[in-house]
Amino acid sequence: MTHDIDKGKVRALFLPVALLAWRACVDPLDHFWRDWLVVLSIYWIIVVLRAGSPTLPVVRVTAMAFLFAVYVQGQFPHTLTVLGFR
Amino acid sequence: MISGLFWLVAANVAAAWGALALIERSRTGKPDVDTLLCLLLRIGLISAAVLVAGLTRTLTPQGIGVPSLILLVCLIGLEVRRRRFRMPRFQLPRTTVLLCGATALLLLRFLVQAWVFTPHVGDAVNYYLPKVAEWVQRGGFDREMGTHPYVTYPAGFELVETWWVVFLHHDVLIEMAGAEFLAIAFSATYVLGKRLGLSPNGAIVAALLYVLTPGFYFSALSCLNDAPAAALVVATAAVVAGGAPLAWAVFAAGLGIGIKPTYAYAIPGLAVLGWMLRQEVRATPGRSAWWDRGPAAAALLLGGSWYFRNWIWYGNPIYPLGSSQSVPGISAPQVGPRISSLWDNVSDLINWRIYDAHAYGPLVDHSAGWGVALFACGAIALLDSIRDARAWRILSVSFFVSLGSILLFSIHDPWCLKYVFFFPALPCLAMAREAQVCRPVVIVILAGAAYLFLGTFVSFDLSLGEFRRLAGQSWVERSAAARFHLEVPKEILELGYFGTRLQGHGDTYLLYGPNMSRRIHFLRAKDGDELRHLIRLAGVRRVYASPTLPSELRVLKECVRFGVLRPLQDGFFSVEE
Repeated sequence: MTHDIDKGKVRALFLPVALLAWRACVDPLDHFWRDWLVVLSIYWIIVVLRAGSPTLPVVRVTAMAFLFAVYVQGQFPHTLTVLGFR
Repeated sequence: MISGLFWLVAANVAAAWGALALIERSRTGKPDVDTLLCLLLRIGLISAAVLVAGLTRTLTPQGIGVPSLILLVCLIGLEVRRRRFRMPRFQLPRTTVLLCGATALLLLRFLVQAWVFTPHVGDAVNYYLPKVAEWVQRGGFDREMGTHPYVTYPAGFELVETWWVVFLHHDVLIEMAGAEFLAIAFSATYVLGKRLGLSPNGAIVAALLYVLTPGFYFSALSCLNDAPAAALVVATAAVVAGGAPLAWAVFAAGLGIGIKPTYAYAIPGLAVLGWMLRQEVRATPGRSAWWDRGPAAAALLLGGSWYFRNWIWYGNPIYPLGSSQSVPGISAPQVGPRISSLWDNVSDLINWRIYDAHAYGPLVDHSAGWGVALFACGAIALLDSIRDARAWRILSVSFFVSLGSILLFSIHDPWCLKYVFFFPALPCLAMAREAQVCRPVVIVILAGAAYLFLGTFVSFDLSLGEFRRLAGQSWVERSAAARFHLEVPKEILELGYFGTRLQGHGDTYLLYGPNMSRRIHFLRAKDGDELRHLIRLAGVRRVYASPTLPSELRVLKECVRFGVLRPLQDGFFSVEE
């Protein structure tokens, strides 16, 4: 039984790991840490490995908050300009 | 003005009541689906009314208003005769005060923006709206639609815009055409949410988030047809998933292809949805199919009429696309699929445009315009949803196929992602689901929604200063003409227009004035003599020229050299002979 679950997990890990590997190959180093696909694939891997864990909501919110910050970092100066604050 | 307002109200009540009366026969028994069908039917009725009035040259307040009033009286008479007179009612979902307040606030803000905003975006003022101005001025359709090569594109959305213009003979309410499609998008997202198992509150949250998608919102507010086409893609998916008869999906498709051909590119995904749901969704049994098929056939005729017109006039239903006549000075839109476009579009989307590192605007220049909530929470929420249930996987496959299909058929340029405004509806639904199952997520989604609300006050191409200037103008004279140096003195009621301004600010529509009182004579001349002849024929004393092609510049210089035209400023010339 345990062996089956492990095989299932390995299969489920294939896509996120492949996605992460692909981004590692194509991303410049300074962009890698803020690549949304990297964040998504890491989250995906955690979800597969820690399914049902009580810490998962914390991981989820942390990932979302991080992406929020990444987005706002690029968009906020434009928002300020359009609203006449700059 | 008062009589125009009367006909406007009468016609709108008649269109709404007519839609309710028609839907009576086709009720699915699901209030949310019936509401969506009713909104779609209203658009169908409005479009048909303007199309018929345009063809019969009765496109006037009375020309549409009187038949509408007669229809309204008949509908009331029928109700009284049946001795069961009652006002038509929508069944509103039960929701919280907070969500009701948020929806009302959004609606109120849109109405204020629609009142203050005025047509200003290049595509709209160059080749969508000159048609509307010509139709309203002439009281019917005419072959004259302006000189831009794209004026022959399908004009389904312009029919709805004309509806909001013709009664007042003024464009102050023209953005309400976009509001009709925002309502459809809201309703369709709600239907999808309910079918995916969201609570009414969750479905409303999804609908609100989708409507607040910056690119989509500004497109609806800026007289562009990308948001309406996207709303109809979501509506078609909702009709299919909602279990309405297939004919109603065809109805939405008919409206969609009449608004923008890119709608048709989304059909593969919608077909996949229908195919995958064939076992689960059954049409309501025991109903005459005639009531469903009639509107579907009418909508196909309505949408197909533009292609038929082009076929008759130019021998090519998608003219000027695919025609041997190239359009100099402008990059030709793509015809047919192209793998390189798909690769470039997808690669740009996931690598940088999704970050929206450009100010929000209706054309989503170099960005996706999908907003912060979708970026921060959408992908993660969608992943969780797809892992959770088959219904989510089916809808996701459908939306991804449509996304890929549209990007396969769309040329790679800085604005290509305006064709896929339908897609954010899917992650917005997933976000609402995530908020239901994981409460801490609500904080991030709320922060995202607040940012979206803030970011959708004004678009970058209509700065806050310009917004203030427009708000300070009287509504009668409100126009973006001053911004583009296109102000024409009031006493000039006839103006010559020379040139096919293709890029930048040709902005033909702004020359008509907000009440479309100025007659524009399009002077299509190949040489100086012909231009002089056409100017005399039109009898104009002022000409606006926007030459972009070398040949046009030569003709203009010739006329100036021979003293026919005297340059004034900003492209205006006075006629000297």
